[in-house]
Amino acid sequence: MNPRLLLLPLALLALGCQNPARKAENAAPAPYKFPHGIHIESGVACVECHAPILKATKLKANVVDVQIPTKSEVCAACHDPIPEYKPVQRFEPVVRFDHAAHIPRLKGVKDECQGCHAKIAEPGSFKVEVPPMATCTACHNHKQDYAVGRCTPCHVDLKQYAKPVKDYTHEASFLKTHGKWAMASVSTCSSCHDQTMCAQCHTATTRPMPPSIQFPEKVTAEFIHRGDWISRHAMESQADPVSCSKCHGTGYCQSCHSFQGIAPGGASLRDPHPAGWVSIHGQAARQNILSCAGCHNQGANSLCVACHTTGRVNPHPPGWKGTQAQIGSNPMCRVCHTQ
Amino acid sequence: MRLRLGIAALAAATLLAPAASHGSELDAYSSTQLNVQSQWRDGSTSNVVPLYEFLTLTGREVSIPGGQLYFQVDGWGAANLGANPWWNGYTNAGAWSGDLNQAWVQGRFLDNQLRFTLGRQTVGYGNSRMLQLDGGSFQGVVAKMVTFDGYVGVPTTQRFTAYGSIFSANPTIGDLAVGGRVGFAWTSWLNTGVSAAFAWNGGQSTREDLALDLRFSPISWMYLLGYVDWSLFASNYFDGLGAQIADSNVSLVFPVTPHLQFTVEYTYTVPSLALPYNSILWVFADTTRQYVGGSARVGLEAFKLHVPLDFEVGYRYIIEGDTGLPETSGNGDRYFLRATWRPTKDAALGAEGSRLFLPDQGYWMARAYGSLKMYGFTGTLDFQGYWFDQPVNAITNSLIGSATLGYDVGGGFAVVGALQGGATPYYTSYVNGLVKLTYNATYRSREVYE
Repeated sequence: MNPRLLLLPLALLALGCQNPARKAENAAPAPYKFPHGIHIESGVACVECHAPILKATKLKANVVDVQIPTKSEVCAACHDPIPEYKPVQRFEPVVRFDHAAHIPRLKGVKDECQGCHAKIAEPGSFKVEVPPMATCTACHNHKQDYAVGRCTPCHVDLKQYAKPVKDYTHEASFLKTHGKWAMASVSTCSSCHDQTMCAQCHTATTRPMPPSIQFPEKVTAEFIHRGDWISRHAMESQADPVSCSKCHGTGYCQSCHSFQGIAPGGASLRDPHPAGWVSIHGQAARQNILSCAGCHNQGANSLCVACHTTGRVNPHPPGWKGTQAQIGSNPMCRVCHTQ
Repeated sequence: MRLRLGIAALAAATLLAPAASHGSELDAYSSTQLNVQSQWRDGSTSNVVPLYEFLTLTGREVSIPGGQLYFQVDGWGAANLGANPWWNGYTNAGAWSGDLNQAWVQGRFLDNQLRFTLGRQTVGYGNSRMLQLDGGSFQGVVAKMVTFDGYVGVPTTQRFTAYGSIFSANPTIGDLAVGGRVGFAWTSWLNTGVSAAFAWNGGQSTREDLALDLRFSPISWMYLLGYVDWSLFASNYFDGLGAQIADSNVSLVFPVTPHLQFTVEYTYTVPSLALPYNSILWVFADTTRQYVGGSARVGLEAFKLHVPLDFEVGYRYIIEGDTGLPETSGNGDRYFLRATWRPTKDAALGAEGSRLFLPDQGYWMARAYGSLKMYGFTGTLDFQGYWFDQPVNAITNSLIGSATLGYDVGGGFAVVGALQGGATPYYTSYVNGLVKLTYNATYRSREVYE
């Protein structure tokens, strides 16, 4: 192992010691102070204090859409003097919402603000009363969006929510199709999943074991290599060789095959091929060259080169159109085409 | 140089951590795991006893000028207490192992519309094939419709060795990889993009592909997904488009409700084009694989029946392309069926079966599994059997079972013990054990004003 890697645990330790959570724990949140309920009951319109919300097209961090009137007749009807109140924002926006677009549609509707904001924080409360999603779906049909996990048009980040796993096993064969969704929609995936989630399976180059070994308790997960993968890996590779090669380079195969003594480089080399292999190996290579590459991909030192050099057995399939110019420019060609 | 890059990303993450004060969170995951295993090697078995430490630290939403910072370090180390375990590397000697899966720092700017990531990462957009990379990447969105994604770096290799060599376990090999995608999205109707992936090793091309992807949804309950990856490199050496299409597929997905979904798909691939283009074997093959099939997920809850039972069924017809040689190739089939009953959110019971048929080999599979969480304990059972059409290592079946028992200690700690055993073509009988202590917690520092 490279000794410089020993720096890793030290760096991680340093990171762990700088725990930002301590700041959160020490800074105890303050409760709300403004008594919303009594003002609503007194007939004070919400916009008397929340006038900026009428033009707010976004919920923004660090922007408080409150403007307390200082010389308002509405306030003076009850307050003398009008008490000072400094509004604060107590939450990070978790959804994208355009008040300016929504409010005009509610004009004339009784209790137009409370139609969504049924619960409003009262003094002493620490809880941010964000309208539930059912409020949105009362007007908007998001059934299909929910079905396919199309959340980011509204939600900024879903990581804070408990995942509705029961619904989000995604569609059947999602394991097979998830790449098709992800290649164009990385941002959609990342609204729920960190790169760690992808990396659990997609960093096969650096991981010591497949997730099915690391997480045996996850019996409902669709791990590809669950169970006795070794005994069937050749069949799976034959059925869908490209699927294997998207995660595993041929070096991965060669490493184990050499370890097992069935590939060049093994300590006690054993020939895994059946009798009469020489006469049928061409057919086998044409049908699944990736299987051959699992042992015989040593570049210019590959076993194939010994017989398939210029003037001997032509290995190129029908449709091959390599030219002399390409041979001259491509070192791979020059391994066999030495003249 | 590559090592320095990884360490630089790590150091940056460490140094920036104190800035966490504004709506930030740190997610920590640690798993200390002792495996006791038999490993089959060269006709005999060896007992391997690696003690692993997996550690993942993820920081999110750390305020920086003009944006937010995200970072992640994900790595592992192992002390090999018994025989040396096999691992995907040629340098697996000695009592210690370790590697880094992820180590990146990401800056997000302009309300998340621009992201830069530096370090060891996994890029998954377009035709990058989930490339594990030591380098940099960016993602940009213009007017919510046009996206720009790009990456440049060195394909990661196991334990920082084997860079650019055929011994790299990374499917993309080389000393430089460059790629990206330009996409266009219009509402939920259309998302399409053009991507490119290039890699070189010592100036020799190992990958040279262009791709087009499409997601089209004119109605909310139907998606058309399409993808075609064209090998620029192969176009110089092979006549006919069929020999130049490395990978392609088209699918129709009908997500009617979360419990009622249907998919039909067609896939066309040229397996040899999955090899690095500097491989000498690349010039030998011209066969193709095609797949036609579909799958369905039908949950009884979709029909207003209050029975939490889901069925999944699928079929795939495997077509091997004609190689032009005297012996004809054959086709195959794959079927699967799964039923899952979730009586409560803490319990699941499932059964599944599958069949793979190939011209000269195949198998039947049956599996039953269950999990139950109660009083802080979680127990699982899993039984799986394979019956092969032709003997594998002179054996025609493989039967294994596993049981796990975990306990949620609290405070983010949990312990899990597992036993797995059975009889397979390579083990007349075996028992493997695992015990692990995991810690998973998220520390949040949300903004609170007085």
